[in-house]
Amino acid sequence: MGAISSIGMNVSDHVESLLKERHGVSHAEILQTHHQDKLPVCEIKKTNDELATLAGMPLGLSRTIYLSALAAQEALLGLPFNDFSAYRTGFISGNTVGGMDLTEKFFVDYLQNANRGHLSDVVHHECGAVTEVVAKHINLQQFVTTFSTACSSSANSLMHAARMIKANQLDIVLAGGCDALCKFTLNGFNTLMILDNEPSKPFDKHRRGLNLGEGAAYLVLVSDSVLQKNNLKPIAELIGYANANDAFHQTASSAEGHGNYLAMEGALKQAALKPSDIQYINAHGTGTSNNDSSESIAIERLFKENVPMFSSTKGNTGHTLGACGALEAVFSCVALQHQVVFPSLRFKDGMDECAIRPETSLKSVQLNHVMSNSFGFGGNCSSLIFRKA
Amino acid sequence: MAVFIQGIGNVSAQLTPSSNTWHWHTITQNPAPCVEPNYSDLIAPMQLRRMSKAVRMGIAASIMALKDAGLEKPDTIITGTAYGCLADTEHFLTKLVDQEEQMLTPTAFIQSTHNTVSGQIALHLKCHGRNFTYTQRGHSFEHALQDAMLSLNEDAQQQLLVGAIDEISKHSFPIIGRFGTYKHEEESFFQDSKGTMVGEGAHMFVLNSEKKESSFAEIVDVYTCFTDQVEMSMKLFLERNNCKPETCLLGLNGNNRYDAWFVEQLKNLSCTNVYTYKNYCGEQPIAASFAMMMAASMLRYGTDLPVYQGSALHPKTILIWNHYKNQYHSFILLRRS
Repeated sequence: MGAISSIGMNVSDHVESLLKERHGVSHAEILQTHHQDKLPVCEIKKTNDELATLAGMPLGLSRTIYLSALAAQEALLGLPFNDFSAYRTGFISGNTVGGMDLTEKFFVDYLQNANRGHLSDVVHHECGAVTEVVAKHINLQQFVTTFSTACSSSANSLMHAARMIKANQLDIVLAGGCDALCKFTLNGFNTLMILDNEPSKPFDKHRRGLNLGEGAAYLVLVSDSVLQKNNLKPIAELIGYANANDAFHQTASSAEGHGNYLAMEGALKQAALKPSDIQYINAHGTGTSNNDSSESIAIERLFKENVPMFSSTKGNTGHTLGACGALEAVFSCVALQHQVVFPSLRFKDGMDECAIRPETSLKSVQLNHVMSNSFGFGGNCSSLIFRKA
Repeated sequence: MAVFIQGIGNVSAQLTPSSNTWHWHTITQNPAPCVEPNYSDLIAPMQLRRMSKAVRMGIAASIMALKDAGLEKPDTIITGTAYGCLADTEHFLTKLVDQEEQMLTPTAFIQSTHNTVSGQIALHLKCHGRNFTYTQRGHSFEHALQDAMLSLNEDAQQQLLVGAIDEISKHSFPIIGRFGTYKHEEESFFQDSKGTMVGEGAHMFVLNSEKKESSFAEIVDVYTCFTDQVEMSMKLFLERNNCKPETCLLGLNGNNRYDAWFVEQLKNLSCTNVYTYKNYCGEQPIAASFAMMMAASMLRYGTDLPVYQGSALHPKTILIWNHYKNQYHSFILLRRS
């Protein structure tokens, strides 16, 4: 596994931050925006040049590329071998806006004069271009693809990796996603009036929105035969996955969370599990009024009297968009490894529309199955289930 | 698992053929103008007004494909797009810069997301099934198609709506032009010169595993690779399908830096009859989806289009060899069903 976000530069930083209930909410220092003092973000306090050096990449590329490369490189170090020539490999990544951080820089000059703006700032505009650059850097170029399904992008990367391994199309897949903070998304979410100007409080009755974050996370998925041949000790097993569409509104979730319900139900079915088999849900829990209410109602409807412990770690990391599905998949695996459930930071009062309440303190418990939810624009709902190895 | 094309939706520079008389012509303008359908027959005017070109082309092509297949609602929607919703992206970016991050409105932002088209199709059809959007540059459509074939292996009963969408926008056209991508204004598509002419469109397909009288074609196999693997990959691809296609749709794009090499490669293939397609749709990252619409129609109806090489027979097996910027290559094998 590999991870980078405002609460850590690698997985072990994240474990420490989660166990110590740290968060990464701050004012933007690296991102230059008019909202610097007004809208808190979960920013990685490293400049692009610092990230480039750490990643061993040339300067001047998109921040998203650096974040992706750093987490991808860390994830690959988890394997005891680095010669993949005997295997069919894949690199599957998700992101929402590609190299937008540079495109928005380009546009300032371009709009003044159509012949101005450095073309090197738009060559990685496409979501797939970000993946392509990283694939070359880490030398995983056999099968390379990108999902862009908004906030569920990297959950879908993991799901697709599992499908391709199951179908015996690939042996080893590095799957996950990335997104860097940029003005485009910060302003976009701001126009929707779903950004909290204080640190977010997912699932709280008085929640006022989300904090945007940035990061990247990747997990190495391998087939049974790779596992056995190399005597590998897996961290966890991805046994359930499903994607469904809410088909209600471009950005809002249906009040009853129909898509959320279908995704969670589909993942359970795929894993051949009953609702009572899940001990913990790492919820999507963005902190917006709409998401947290729909997700809670869907959880309550599906799990009935067996609602497992649940929490949102977006109070720690902010909403990392294209990265969050994979970042929270890493957290779900960490929960299984350490047999702990993470609290929903800053939760105080429960919502009126449901009876369920998130965990508010770190708990040591026996965990066998953890569910991770990711829901996005376009009604895109994904749910993954991890089993203790 | 055999996979069949049951319906086609096409919004591009050419109309969808319905017999062996096609009325297609090589494009003469850059970008190639898209023949947009009368949307009011397909989409409510209130909704239509808010849709960008990418969204309305995608939804219209989806409705056409479903109607063609006699299907009300698919189980799964899978799309590919290299650039996503460029017009809305640029719109929001322009306002962001001009208004210095002040007084912005959300519409363009929420429609700029890459999965807007597939999400809007789901919304339009009230389709709650799996909904994936691939954005891998010149492989975006092919990866959606590979996913479709995998899906039918997982569950043979599924009805799939699969395709690709890309639009050319006010700013993307001049920006891409600055890379020296285009031919000079007075040049024709196959003029022996550098550069190409571009196009846009949406091509959607209804796929399932049922062979029917009305099926267009069977999709035998899809493969993607990069330039350095292309010769070996083609050999393996044909071997694994134990197939010697007699017809090839070759992705020549008029750029003399690449075209000669492709024509040279034909020597290694069994294909005696060669057609081109980018001269009808314009170069674009999702050109393979146009080629698949064309190949499926050729297998079903035959065509009166001129051959590039060989003779004009009603094809039985078609190999589509697409490339994007001579970097992203793909092979799609279709046969008469």
